[in-house]
Amino acid sequence: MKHTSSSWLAYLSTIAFGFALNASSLFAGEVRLAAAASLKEALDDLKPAIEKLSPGTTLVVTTGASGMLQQQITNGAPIDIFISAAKKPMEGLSQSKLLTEGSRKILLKNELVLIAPEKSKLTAITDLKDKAIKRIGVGEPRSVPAGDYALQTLTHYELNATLATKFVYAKDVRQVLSYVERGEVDAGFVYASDALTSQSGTIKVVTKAPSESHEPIVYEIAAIKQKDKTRKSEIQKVITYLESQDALKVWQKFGFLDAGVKTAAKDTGRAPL
Amino acid sequence: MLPSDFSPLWLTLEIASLATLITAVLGAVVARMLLHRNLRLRLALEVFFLCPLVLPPTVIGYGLMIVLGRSGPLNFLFEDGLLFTKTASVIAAVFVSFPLMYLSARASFRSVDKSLTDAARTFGARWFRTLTTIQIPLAAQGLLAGVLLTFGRSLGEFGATLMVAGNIPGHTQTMPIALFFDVEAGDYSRAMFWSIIAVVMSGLLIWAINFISETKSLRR
Repeated sequence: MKHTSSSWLAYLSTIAFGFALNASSLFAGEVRLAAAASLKEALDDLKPAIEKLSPGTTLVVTTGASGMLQQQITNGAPIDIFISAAKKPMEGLSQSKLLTEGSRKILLKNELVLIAPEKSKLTAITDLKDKAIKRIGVGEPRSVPAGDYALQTLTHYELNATLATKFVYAKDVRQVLSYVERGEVDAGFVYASDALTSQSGTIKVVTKAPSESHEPIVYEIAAIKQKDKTRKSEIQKVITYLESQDALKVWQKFGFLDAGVKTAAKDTGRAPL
Repeated sequence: MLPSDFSPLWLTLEIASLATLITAVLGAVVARMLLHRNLRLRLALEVFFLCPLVLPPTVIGYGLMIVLGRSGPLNFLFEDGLLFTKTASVIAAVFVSFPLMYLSARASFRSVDKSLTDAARTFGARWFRTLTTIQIPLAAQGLLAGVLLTFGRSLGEFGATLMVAGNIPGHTQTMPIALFFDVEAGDYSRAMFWSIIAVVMSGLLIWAINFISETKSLRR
């Protein structure tokens, strides 16, 4: 009996040691970027160029709803750089003092569009009231910025309460897109850039949500504070590249808009009004 | 602290109850039907029945998504498809909980002494009478444990359900789904509330299942 328990202990400690070893080697030479779901394809395209900047460095990209990524970072996810599709998640991290000071900037802009399956007869946002429209895909507004912008637009048209029973809440903006692509919902709100990623013949852009109907859609980028300073220059290189003119051409190819001069975003450490 | 809307709790209970009703009958009937059948046939069929026990729920979700969708093979019956409906949640729960009911029922029916049923048949009792007066009463303990296990599994179903039923408050947003989105949104107090309810319900269920299994027999 005694023999068995001690060999188990040896076995477990070997595993634990293995994990510890693995964890440290796993992160060396890696820059980890968490980005809004809508940026996925553009980042796939940018990845090789970024990895060429400093040979030996791998860029690990994780995408998802900005609000969800904010929660993961707050809970200690090993992320170096965060790109959010809205101010709010970045503001949350700023309040939690998790951002590297001075690193927060506005990166890109985007537009919100109403999409529908290709064969749909939908022509305007106000037509969403029609009986033929049974389900509308929107991002879960607390964690998905695109859903938040969509509800702002519907509130602007005073349709929010009327349509509430038709909403299917998605876990990120790309899930809305796939719901519409598969024809499982009759309409949905996504970014203009998302609509471009769809194969032709599956969806159509019904209309653009007027920019005055929602807060401006700005993507913010920031570095997350790291205890380990050894990768600081690699991380900075990646950020500089993502903000460069070369990267802008790629962003634009994927439907994102130039945010103009790369001004430092207001990092007040206070909640927005 | 408290959520303003308790619909996820009621929905969970409603969907789990419906699913349990279906699974309990289906599982018991199928287990009884296959009880004395050819082993090879049973083994082949059980591969299908029991797979959901070990399959990732996402595989079940994906399969059901294709079958129940608007362009799926069932669209001649349901023009709008069944995805994003309460029915979809029930179907997902039935699929994932069926193995538990089937296995419990199979074990309980097996434990019934075959000489008793044979004797009843010899004295002229019909198949149905044998079932209702001998097999079910003697297997009741295990069947009931199976029903509770099925209910428990249905209460907790998340993966397949999220894929086929989505997240619609008041329609398909069950407790596990509400909790998932609360955590994603950083609303930890609500998530904690749902968790406490889930832990209490699960604890009660496990206690009940053990109580039933440890009690010698319900009839004696």
